[in-house]
Amino acid sequence: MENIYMDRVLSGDIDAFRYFIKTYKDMAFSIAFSIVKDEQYAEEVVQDAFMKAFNGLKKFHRKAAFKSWFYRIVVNESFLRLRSIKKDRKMISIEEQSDAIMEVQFEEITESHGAKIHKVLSLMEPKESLALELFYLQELSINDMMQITGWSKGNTKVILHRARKSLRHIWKQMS
Amino acid sequence: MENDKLEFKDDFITSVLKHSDRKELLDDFENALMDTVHTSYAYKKVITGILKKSMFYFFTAILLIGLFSLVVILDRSIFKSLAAVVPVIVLFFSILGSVVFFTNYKRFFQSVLW
Repeated sequence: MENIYMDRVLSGDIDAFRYFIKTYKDMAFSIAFSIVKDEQYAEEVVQDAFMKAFNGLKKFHRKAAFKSWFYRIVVNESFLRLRSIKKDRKMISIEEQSDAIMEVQFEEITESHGAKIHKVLSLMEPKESLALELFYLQELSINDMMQITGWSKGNTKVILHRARKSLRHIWKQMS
Repeated sequence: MENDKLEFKDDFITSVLKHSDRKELLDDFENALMDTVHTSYAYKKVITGILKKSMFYFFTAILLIGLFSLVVILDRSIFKSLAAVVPVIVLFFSILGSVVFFTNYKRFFQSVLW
């Protein structure tokens, strides 16, 4: 199915690209958000990633699935954006981070369960929340994760372990 | 693969993540993005057209200079005098120039387009 749309785009039917946007925009947004932790930035990342995919469609050899190829672009774009964000404002120190947790704890009383989880994820390391996003929400295999992130198998597993531990830890602190 | 799934099976994490508030991108985003795609495509088409045209003129000019030099060389029986060497030098520098020009041009357009 995707190949048909790809062929249509490559033959000049630009509107066929809407199919890819419709299919992948939300998942791409979740992945970008898990890394950059900001909705505005995540939206920009998704937009840039789609533009890159559109411009690079000719170079895509279709050996892998479009999904993996596109998510890889999203992940790379997100980390690039994260680097520029970090340059703009210095990274939050560990102390500030724990302050943020306290703040979240206070806000929690009035906030929904979903919003609380959202905040827990935003307090996690980008790599860790990305790993959780890909494995538990997108239900990708370790091999798919390796393709998308460029991590080794061992590294992927270590990050997943750390991510689970870290989520539980922040969750406990907030409850 | 199944082993990996089992190794990391965690109902708590799964339920926590699945209950997170997730923002979904609206149709406005989709439309805006499609507009950008259309604009970019049209721009790329125009630029490619200009690039192709200018490349064509440039290489035609180079070819003509080369042919002219060749005719002059043949006409004056090769390297008989210093005057005969000049077209060879012109030809050499024209080719060199075209290669440098082409590389820079390509790089410039790549950086502008994507």
